[in-house]
Amino acid sequence: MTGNTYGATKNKLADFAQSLGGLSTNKRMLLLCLPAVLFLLIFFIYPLIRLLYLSFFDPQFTLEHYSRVFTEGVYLRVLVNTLNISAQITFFCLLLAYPVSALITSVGSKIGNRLMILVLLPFWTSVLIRAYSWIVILQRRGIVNEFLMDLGLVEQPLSLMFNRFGLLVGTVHVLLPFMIFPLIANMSGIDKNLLKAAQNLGAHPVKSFLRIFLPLSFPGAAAGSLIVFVMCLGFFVTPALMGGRGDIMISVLIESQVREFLNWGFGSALSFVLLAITLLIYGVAAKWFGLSNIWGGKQI
Amino acid sequence: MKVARIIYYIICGLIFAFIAFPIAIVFPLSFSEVSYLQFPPETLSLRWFEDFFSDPEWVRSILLSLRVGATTALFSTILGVLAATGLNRAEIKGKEYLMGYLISPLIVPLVVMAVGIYGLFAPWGLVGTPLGISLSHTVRALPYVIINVSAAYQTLDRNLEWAARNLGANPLETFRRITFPLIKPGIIGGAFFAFIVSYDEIVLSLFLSGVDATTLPIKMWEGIRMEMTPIIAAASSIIIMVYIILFAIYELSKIRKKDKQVEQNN
Repeated sequence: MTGNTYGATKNKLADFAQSLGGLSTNKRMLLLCLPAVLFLLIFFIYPLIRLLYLSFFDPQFTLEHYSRVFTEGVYLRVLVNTLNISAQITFFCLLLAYPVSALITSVGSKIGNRLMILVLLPFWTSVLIRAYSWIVILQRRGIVNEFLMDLGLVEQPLSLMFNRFGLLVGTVHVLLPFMIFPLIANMSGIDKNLLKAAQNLGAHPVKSFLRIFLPLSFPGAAAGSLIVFVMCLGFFVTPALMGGRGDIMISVLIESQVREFLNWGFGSALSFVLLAITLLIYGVAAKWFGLSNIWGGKQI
Repeated sequence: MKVARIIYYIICGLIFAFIAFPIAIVFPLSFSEVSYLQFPPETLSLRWFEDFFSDPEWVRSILLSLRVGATTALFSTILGVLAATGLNRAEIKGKEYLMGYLISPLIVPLVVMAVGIYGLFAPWGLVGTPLGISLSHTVRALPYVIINVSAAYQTLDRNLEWAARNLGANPLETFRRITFPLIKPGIIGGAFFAFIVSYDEIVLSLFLSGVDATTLPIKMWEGIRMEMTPIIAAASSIIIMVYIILFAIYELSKIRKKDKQVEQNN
């Protein structure tokens, strides 16, 4: 009995294989992509289309949700704030990543690899754990304040958290590796003999750096800045945990609109503004650097 | 010039300290004895680990995280290996667009994705269920599996497959005996990656978790917002330990494989 069923199944499978045999190898191979394509269509594309619909039709056709994003002072401020914070974070990431990337690429691979571990260790640690750590360090009775008060440098604990400062420290820490990776990829390709040649010809080291190394490292800095900026725009965890109440970013606003106020129309419109800006910047980046360079690393 | 160099090294040292410091304090903090945050802890104890493992909510959350991570790894590995095989074997025009579509979940901000999936799952009753959380994590993890397995395919020498076919093996047998063993490291790497993406995930889980389905990161998220006790540091240490165990297993399997090869060669 069991043998028969097995035989029948086998025959059916053989028939199916035969019918597939009618297709060219290419088409059969493409069929293998079908499950993943359908999965993403249902669980990724369709939800986004649904959001787009909701942003225009909640309850019937209206442009009110979008006009609220751009005309109501509170929300416009969040949008401007998000761009502003992202720009500041990109700046600080570049400021911190540049010297260490230059160091890692100039000390030889043995020490360079060890230093890279220092960069990778936090990179692989959960964003949540890092936010928690920073809260411990920066809170009112935290490590920094205790230290400063023990030294007698400050009388009252400084407020280092739930404001712009805390947000910048926490977020720069998370996004810094995304600046360091493209910089290292770029700087390790710079021929160090060029610098030696310039110095042999009498250029001051500072001048040879400014005239040779700095311009050659520009593509790495530009790629890193774009990635950090765009990732920061939609970043949620650290801004939600460490940012100030009056200084919120768009992702935090979206979360509260949808989860607390069940404000689907407005939340969807905000989501689409964020998505549109993100895709625009990725589009520009893809044109400049090619997509594979952007998608290389781990995302958060 | 020497002075400039020393200043440069000091600046780099400070930046490295900034990078490493937050990770360095988590472990010591979790062994503190008192309930307020004290660093460095004056007396050591395992109190917070005991609290963690005797609180059924924390234990449930870590078990759920492991389960959701394993489900996500399973789903995305099956879908990802099939898709990567198709992508790398079909010779068609516009393949890069198909690849672009398959890895596009990586560029959409997580909050936007979470809002969309939350809206879809709410009427289906999938919010607050392990399956709902796993499905949403699979969307995010799938591209990593595809990238990993595709990379393995690109380093594969196709002559080996042709040789097997010439010697009379059918396509399935060739895949099983030649192709699969060669891309296996890519598959395992992809599965590990998928697990970690899920195990670490907060934004999607925040929207999709419920009273009966709280993952470890969400439990920690609530803990950070409500009461800041070292039990969160203990939870962090446990998360990091799971990573270390996973990497150890991964590395050990590589070493074992090498030993086997050595044995075979002898």
